[in-house]
Amino acid sequence: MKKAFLVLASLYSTTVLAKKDLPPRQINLTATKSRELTSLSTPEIADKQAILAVIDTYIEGLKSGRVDLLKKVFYKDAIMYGFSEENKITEGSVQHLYDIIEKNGALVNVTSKNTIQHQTSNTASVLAELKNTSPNQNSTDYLSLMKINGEWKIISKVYHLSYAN
Amino acid sequence: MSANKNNNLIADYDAILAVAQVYVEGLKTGNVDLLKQTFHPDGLMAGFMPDGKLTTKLQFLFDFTEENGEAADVKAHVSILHKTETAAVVLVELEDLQGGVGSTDYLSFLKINGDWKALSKVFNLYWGR
Repeated sequence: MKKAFLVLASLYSTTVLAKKDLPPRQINLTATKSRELTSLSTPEIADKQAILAVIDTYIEGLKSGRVDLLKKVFYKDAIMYGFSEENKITEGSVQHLYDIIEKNGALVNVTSKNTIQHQTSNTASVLAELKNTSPNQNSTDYLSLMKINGEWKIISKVYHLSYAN
Repeated sequence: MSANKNNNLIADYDAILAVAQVYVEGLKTGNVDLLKQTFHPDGLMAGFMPDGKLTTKLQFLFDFTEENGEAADVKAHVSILHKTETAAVVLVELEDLQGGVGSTDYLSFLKINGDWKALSKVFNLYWGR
């Protein structure tokens, strides 16, 4: 590790030295290019889209009352924990979610604003802010995802229900 | 004007950070009891090990720590990504775990009977280079 770091450091100083000999315009061009390559790498963008598509399917599953859609996006052993606005706890398996939807049907008026809060090559943390999960009720969902066999799956859902203002 | 209350109390932020600190301390000292204190007994841990094996059991964390002991050089940065009155999601960046491995951990918390407990840990490891 230490050796690898030294190699990196020496590479860096070589690049800096090389840049010194270039005319200013070319330096800017090189800088912009390498920044774009590191911060906007294609796999990362593709993953962002794939993650948000999974969350959209989750919301669609709630909205249409389709447990099959929900089962598609949750990992088989996923967990779900959270409190209702009466402070009643739901704990354990995501099976609770399937049972609730099966029993109560579609949450037709639900809408959601989804944000990827943090992401690595294999994991992601998503904030889903749901409105109208039932009349005058909102839900804040924290969804942890993992990329397993090339597919993003929700591993855990921890939520907080609140009354709409 | 109607009341406008902040539901995110500083006491809760502090309590969440304190639990995250116990988690880091557990890793640092190899103390499985501290780790068990951090997590809900039915919590979950998921991530890929360097050999490509997927783990989804929290027990793996306890077994791994039991076996590998302390990570005395570990460095940690903790941030609360988001919270409500009863739930929170925390980012823990770790450097220099056993063998110089690093990890990005997402911990989901729920406040149960007044105590913040981690329900899930999803991790991504870094090694080599």
